[in-house]
Amino acid sequence: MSLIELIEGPFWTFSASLFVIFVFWRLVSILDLRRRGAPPKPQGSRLAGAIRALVVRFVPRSPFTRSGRVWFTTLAGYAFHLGLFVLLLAAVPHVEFIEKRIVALPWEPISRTGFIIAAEISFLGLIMLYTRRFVDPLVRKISRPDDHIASLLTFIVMLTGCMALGRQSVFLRGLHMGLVELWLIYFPFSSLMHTFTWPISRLVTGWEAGRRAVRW
Amino acid sequence: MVILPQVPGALPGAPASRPTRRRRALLGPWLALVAFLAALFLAVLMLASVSAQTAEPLVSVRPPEGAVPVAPPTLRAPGVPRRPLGFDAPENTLGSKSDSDIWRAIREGAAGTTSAPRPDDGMLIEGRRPPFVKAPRPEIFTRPPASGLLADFTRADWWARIRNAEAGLPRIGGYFLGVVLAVIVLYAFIRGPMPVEGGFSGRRIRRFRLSQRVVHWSIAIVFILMALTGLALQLGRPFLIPLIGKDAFSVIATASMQAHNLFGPVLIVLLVLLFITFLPGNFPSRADIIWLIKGGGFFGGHAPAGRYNLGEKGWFWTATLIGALLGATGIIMLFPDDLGTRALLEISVFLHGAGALIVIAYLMGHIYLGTYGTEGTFEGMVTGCVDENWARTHHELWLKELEEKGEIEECRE
Repeated sequence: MSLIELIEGPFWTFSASLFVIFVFWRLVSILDLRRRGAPPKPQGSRLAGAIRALVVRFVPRSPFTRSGRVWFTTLAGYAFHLGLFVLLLAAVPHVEFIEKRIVALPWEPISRTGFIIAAEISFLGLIMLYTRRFVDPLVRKISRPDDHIASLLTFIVMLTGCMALGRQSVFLRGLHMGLVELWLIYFPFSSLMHTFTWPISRLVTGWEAGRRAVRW
Repeated sequence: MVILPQVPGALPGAPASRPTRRRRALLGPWLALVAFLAALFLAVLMLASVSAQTAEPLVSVRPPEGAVPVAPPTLRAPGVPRRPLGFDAPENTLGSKSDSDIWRAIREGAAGTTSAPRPDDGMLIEGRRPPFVKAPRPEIFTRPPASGLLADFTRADWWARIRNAEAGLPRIGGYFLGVVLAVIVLYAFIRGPMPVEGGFSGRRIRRFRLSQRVVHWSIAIVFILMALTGLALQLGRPFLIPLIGKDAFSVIATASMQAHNLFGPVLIVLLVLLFITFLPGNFPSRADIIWLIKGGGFFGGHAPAGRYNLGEKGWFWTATLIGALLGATGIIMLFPDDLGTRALLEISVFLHGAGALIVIAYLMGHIYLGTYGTEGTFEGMVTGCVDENWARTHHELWLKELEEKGEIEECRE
């Protein structure tokens, strides 16, 4: 078995299995942390608080809307994440791979031009957010090694993916695939889990705020 | 307003009971072990299945067995060609002429037909000297072609020599960068880092805003990526192939090309942001002449400067203007069919390569001075703050101006 067969076969299965199992395990663990015992009498609507938090937090809170830094983080964050999801779920090689190995997708892949634009927007957002992480004294101090590893690993995965875009080299494809697999293994144990935990966090916090009749 | 922690499990008033914690503590490792074994099992299954199967046939350039060979298309036009081909082979055959005859005819501008719609597309290599080259002077351009007749010096020759890995821009560019690097290393060896006069005072003042630092480091990342991939493409043939071979270079070349093409527009956006954020203070001033006369303090002595010295201003305008040139020529190279003629594409390739060499040379000096070459400079671009004595040493006029206006912003941890 060649290295590329190993990467595209057993190692892919191994990393994807770890990803699914441990993401599920962590989500169950988080949801299992619910409050025990009889809760105090609600002072307001918990559901309304949860939905409000889920929706309203897509934009900066009103006291911060005049802050350039807040808008920078918000816009760069959206640029990176939306671009990344377009790449992940609509790029031709990814759609082909997902359909071949996982499930048939109900949408068409984007064009090459669309791919390039999405990649550029995503890279611009990621690079600017990451540089801010080490030039902003506050953000630098609250950053953990995990934040740096997660950012750099994501960057390298995206970079090797773009380098393999010509689809001319098995080595480049294998390099990208191998890094994706490392990323999948690292994912459940890192801050990358925010991909799944952000709605839970907002809903639970909003639920709690709604119960206390606090506008959070 | 109540600010709550983002982790649901850490909600106030929700501590887990001791048995629950113990259960989780016991359950966790077991779950991890089971998950690991399950994944390993699936991997082994997959390994076995792949081993049992025949590997998928690779795409090959060789024809399948029993295939009937098809003769290559003729270069001969059905109508009257712009220049006779010089050989009379029947259609769809190579005839009695050798490959060298055909390629010579192509080099001399033989026209044919293709299915492409544009008028120039029938010509593989144009046989005219580009209009901006009136008389080729440098030796690499004037060396007589193989025929020995300067009259045969065609645009194809000019273009081939520009791109020639042995004597063209790639090799000259490599030597140029090598010389620049050698000068920097020699200077570093002789002079060492430029010290802060009077040593560090401990009082730090604000020099760069957060937006400037973010833009600077963002462009630094993309610039270095573009430089490395661009150098791999431009200098790869003369310098990398002898070291790593053609197969490995082909991988590096395709990866570099994809990354270079993709990050090019990102660099253009960042260059615009760089221009906006760093423009104030980068206009020429009388102090620049004094700074230049004193050699910028590189060879001893004190050279006062404003917010930016002449070297920094030079770097700013080089990055801006040559960056604009690189951006424009790069876009033409990205869309050659839509944005330009063949001549414009050739000029773009030449200017792109030559401009990049200048910027990379300047970048090497900038990196040296920003890190090892000048004490306290690197910290300034990371934290935004510099030592007061650093400012007095390198930007005395700027410090005086701040003091006079009372605009010194002291940095505190």
